[in-house]
Amino acid sequence: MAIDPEELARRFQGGDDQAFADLIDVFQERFYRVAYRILGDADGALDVVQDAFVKLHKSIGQWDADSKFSSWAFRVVTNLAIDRIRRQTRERKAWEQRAQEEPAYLDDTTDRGLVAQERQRLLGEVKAAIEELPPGQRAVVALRHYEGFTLKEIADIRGCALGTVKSTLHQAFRSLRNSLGPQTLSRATAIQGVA
Amino acid sequence: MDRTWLETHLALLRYGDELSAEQVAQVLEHLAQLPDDADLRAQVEGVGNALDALSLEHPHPERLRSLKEEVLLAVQAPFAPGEAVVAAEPLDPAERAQVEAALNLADEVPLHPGLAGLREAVLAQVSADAPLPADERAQVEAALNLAADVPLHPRLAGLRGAVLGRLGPEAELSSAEQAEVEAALDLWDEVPRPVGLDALKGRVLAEVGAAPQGGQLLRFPGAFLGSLLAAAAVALVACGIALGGWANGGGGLNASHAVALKRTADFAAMNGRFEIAEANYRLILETQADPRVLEQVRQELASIRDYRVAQSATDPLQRQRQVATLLRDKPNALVVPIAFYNDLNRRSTAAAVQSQLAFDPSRALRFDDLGVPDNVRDILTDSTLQVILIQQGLRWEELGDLTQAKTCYERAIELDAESAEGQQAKLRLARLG
Repeated sequence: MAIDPEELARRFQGGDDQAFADLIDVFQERFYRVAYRILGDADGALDVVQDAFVKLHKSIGQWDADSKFSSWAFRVVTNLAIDRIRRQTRERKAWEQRAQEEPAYLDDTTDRGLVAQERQRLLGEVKAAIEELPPGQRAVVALRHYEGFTLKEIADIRGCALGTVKSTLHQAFRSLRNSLGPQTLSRATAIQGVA
Repeated sequence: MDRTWLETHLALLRYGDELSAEQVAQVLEHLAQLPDDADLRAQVEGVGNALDALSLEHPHPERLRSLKEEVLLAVQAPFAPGEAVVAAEPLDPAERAQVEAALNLADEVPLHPGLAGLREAVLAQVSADAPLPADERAQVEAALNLAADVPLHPRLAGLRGAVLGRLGPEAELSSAEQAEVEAALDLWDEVPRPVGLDALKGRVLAEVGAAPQGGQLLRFPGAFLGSLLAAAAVALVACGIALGGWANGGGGLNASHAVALKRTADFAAMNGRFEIAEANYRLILETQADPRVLEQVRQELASIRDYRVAQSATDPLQRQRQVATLLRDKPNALVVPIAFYNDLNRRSTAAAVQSQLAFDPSRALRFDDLGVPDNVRDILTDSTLQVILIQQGLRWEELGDLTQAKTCYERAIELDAESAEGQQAKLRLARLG
């Protein structure tokens, strides 16, 4: 049976510490994925998730039980991640370092290996393009494209108007198109077709 | 009614003369019969706001509004992108507010004459279910200054979203173009699951006091703290306690476990999680025999204790002086300076930094005089220094010494003119003339 986050949150708000532990189980992986997509850095994402849970624990009294808990919780995560990016002076280094950790397929000259190499190269370009986006746009792309939130849910999470989410997503997509360029985009489409 | 009558009444409207609601209705009904006439069209557009305002007084304002729509659509049909919509010059805030009001259907707010017709043109297009063609959308967006790089007046918050919400989220992207971007994003299909995630729950519960803390691994800072960790490692070596070697001093823990424990304690302390750090350090004291190790750990414990006492002072000035004294008097304390630095980073808002460091304006710019030892000064980022300099500049301004304030801003700019802080310093410097 699916666990209802709102019910867990209400129980935790009522003083049930076990419910908080259960909330961690429910949300930690999703929090981590969102933070990672925004930051591009595993260690930073872990820190953000930890800080987010601590903040949720301290601020649970502020949660309006009539509102959606996940929206409130993801708002905390995205805000912390965005704040971290703004503070972070070594962001590019972190991305570059992580990019170097990606597996290489340099020795594999089979068709499959070549596709993997091409995919890896394109992935690097995509990550670089995402890195160029302002933090707020990264957050919206992460929530929408990778986590599948509706635009309305993202508006709740980001605490802004629905139209603002739409325009932010639009700006992000337009920037990505410009950064990636037609050749990369067509290669990405083609290689996804192969996959 | 002939054309002369109509032009006369349009002129009356243009110059603000009040017409009765009946006269307005007559004007509108007359206009609805007119053929497309460029000259007359300009006059109609020039009085659109007056028609709006006056129509509210009519017993049947909806009818009037409908008539006006017909009129304006008639004189503007077919919709010509760029003709009525594209504004050549950026709108000033007042004009933007007018556009916002227009788009919010606030008829009571008069429109700037230069914007007459814009609202109708936009509404006529966006109210239809069918989205605008890309080129028309782009022009609407440009006309409304919706480009992302154009700062919006606060009153216009939501305008961009409101318009684009009606136009569609991908206003300038065709579905095929959007699909290409999505395909590219899909390449990043997996996020590696770090080992640390397994321990996260325990760390969180320990941190919020919902679980025992002893021996809990806190966190392993990544690249962000890379340089700090390197600095700490160098310092440890300098103290004769290389991480790989000291754990061989014997005791109840094996070497790798002891090293991990020490790292955990160090990282915890550097991140201000002192209770966890102390628990781990004490565990080392209980299980290790190497006198060098014991001495180092005792020093860290003592400095942490003093640092916590210093930080507990309620008076900010007293607090920072105590911290400064501690940092100066305990040069062998390795983790506390980094904890101090990280605390500064966490308190990255200007006010917090000010409360931490910028206490005596007469000592501005001389960071060493603050009692912060070189190893701390060296690991302060340029960004942090810039924030401090800007805060000091503001303090000099408050004290009326603009020369000193300028010096602060100039130095902040020298550190990095292109950063956000550098830009802020430039603005403040420009403001001082």
